[in-house]
Amino acid sequence: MASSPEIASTTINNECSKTSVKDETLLRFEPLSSCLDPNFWFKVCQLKLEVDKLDEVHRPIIGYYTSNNNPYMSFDCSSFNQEIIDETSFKYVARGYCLNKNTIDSFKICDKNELLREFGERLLDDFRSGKAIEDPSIIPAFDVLMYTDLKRYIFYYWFAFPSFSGPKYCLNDVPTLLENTLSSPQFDLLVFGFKNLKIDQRGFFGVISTKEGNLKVMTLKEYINIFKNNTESDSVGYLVFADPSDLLNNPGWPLRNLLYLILLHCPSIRTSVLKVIALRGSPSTKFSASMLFNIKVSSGNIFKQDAIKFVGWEKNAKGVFCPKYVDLSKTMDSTKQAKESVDLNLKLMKWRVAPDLNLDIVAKSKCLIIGAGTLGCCVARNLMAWGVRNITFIDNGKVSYSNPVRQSLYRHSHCINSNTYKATAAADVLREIHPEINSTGVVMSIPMPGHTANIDDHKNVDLLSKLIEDHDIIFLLTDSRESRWLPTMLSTLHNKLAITAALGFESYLIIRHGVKVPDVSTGEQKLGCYFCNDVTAPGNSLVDKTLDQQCTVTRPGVSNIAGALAVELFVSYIQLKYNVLANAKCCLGIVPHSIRGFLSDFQQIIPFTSSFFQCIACSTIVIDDFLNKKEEFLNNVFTNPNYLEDLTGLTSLKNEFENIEIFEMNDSDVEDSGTYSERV
Amino acid sequence: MSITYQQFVEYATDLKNHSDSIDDGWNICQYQCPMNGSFVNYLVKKEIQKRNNSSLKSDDSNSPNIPIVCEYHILYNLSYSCPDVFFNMWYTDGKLLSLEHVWSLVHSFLKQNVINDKWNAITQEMHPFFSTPFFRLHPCKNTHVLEMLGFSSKNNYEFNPLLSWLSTISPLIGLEIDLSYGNKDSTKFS
Ligand SMILES: [Zn+2]
Repeated sequence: MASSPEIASTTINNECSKTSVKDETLLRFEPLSSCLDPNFWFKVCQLKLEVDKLDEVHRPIIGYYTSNNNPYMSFDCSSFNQEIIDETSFKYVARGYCLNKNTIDSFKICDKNELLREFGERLLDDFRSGKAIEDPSIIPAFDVLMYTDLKRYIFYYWFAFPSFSGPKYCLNDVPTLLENTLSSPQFDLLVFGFKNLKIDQRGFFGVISTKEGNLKVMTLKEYINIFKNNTESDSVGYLVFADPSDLLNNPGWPLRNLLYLILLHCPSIRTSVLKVIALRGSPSTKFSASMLFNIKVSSGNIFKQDAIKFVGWEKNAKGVFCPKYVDLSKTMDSTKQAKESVDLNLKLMKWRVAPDLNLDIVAKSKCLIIGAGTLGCCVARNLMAWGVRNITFIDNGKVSYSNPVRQSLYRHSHCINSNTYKATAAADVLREIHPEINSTGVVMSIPMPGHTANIDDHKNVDLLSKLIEDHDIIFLLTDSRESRWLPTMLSTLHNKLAITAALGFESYLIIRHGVKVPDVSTGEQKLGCYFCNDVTAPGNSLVDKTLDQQCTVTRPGVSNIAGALAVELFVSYIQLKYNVLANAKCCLGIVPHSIRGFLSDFQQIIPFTSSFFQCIACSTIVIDDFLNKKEEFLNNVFTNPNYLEDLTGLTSLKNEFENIEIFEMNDSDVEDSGTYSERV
Repeated sequence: MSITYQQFVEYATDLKNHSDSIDDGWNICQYQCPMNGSFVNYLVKKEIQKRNNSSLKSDDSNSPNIPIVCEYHILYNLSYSCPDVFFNMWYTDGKLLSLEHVWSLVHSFLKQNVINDKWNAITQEMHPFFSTPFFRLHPCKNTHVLEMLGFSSKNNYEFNPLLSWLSTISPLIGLEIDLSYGNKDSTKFS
């Protein structure tokens, strides 16, 4: 318990100077502060949205306070009920009003002095009519003015605990502990009587001594009636109030209004000494901390109508008379809540398992997913699980009836009327899953070598180049060999990490490339790309194939395994800053160059390969030709199926080895990617 | 060590009775399960921590004394057969403290442990009764704590195991346990 005799008084006229008991007997009251439960604001929102809507209503609400050393009036969701639910908890009830303004302007503009006068006048009316004597829970009055921004969950509010600026009161002597005056049996009677009072009578009541020396507890109304009939100059018994003050020699704010009410109704005692018990503690400890104040009025003539002034606006945290502001978007906005809990889940991994894990770099990475099919959907979901925020899909296909069962982002509804592009649908569904995702779909076909030139090809090369440049990591997940060529070349050109995943019927390959990895011993060297490992340039493998053969025929689990591995490879890779050699170590383990797996025997290996200097996708010859004479190069690539092999010298290499049988991957397999399982 | 729900209620009642005698603020509340209508008892304490009482009314504006409301719930966890603590902290304007802030409030002598070993550190989860975010100490460690304190389900206790557990974990959740809990007349528990 704080024993400082100092106290700041809350008045709008800035009379908050300090005083202490020893040199000045002027009585100062410790002001109340508001204390709001988070669920108070939930209720405010609900009422504004569902009940009040555009009405600016004065809604009656209930506040609670205690006599346990806490000068706070508390409010929660039950404050809006008019019945008191918990009669047993020995909290004291205060009744006041809530005024919810419609606009921030009407909140700001309204005259606060005028408003406080309205609050005060209403209180004065209740005092004069005797309503406050019947129901003392009106005495510790309060009003709250608020504006709620329901879109952003921002609240402006200002509490007032209206009271009368006069009269001034003096202490007749130094306040003493009540136990110096009352005996233990008298305390027992006090507690007994208290418990028999109804909850809204417990904050303010009276006590008189009987002839036998016993104490008798009575309601405020009964007590005031005795006072009115009393002709002696001294007061009878004690006036009792539940005191929220945490200052030894200063009573709490509710007494200020109680004294005014008493003096208003019992003018005869304006000149006598009032014996006031400040109830402190709780009934279970018999209010053992209670204090006795002997109080008299020090200035008169304040009951004239025109002389009455009001005080009571609450100060903010900095001690200034001004409204409070609270931003609850973190707890109330479901989108932010989802973001917080996703982040927390990831942080737990960091805290509990991998303290060096860099989650920020994962979250910030901009991921480009080329191919929004089975693999694309799986990669996107796993990226999201890792907290990635920025995902762009490239795909030119539409969702078809066979897709939703394997491609986890699509529904049957996407297929109806065959109207939904995969890229757009995938981006939409990601936001549906997690609103914080920044996802985009680009409907575009990837220009492919050896295919009859498309009008848009040159434009699309530029668009793709720009997209790759703007992202940090490229997931190359298309299902044909040809469509991987241009993204592979452009990733190498822009020095971006690319992760290619390709599927066979029961096998998969994940390979990282694109970023230059200088080798200390041999000078500049990259790790090989998908094309470095086979020597056949992409021709038109789609020609002469039936529709059926163009579909990916794989065991369903293969794409999930490969997609998940691609994302895990990316997360491990990005933990390291540069020169990530094959099988380099990061906080999560090693970072392989490639991963090959086979479901037939459930085996997986992690081979690494160097780049091939005659590679048709990532070699310097190809990149330079593209940079030097882009238009001509592209025309050649798109129209002449042999151009890339001629350029890189593969044709002559092939001629030299023409007797050696080269495995014909694309003609013998339903899907190109089925081949590498035999070519590990 | 695991305890039964009946034991939990017995210990909780004992704790509440002592709390009443020193005005410590613990209450036993009942939650009605919406699925089968049964009632579940749990301990609740809500307090306003003023942090630094001596400077409550001081002019020292450099160290603003911001009061924090703390609410503690001790539930019985059926799957772990042990007590389970949920708590929340907020400013008087109703804004919840962040998890990071809660950690920073953790009793100073424990801080280094918590930073080094976040297993028992607090996480934010949905309260099982109210479906609002609460902080929680994961209960899987609670049975372990009780075992370390020397309780086994066979013993009779001179001392309330719930209290021993609570006073062990209380520094982690910013809860003060009055010393008198340790001195109170021992009740025989079975
Ligand atoms: Zn290559």
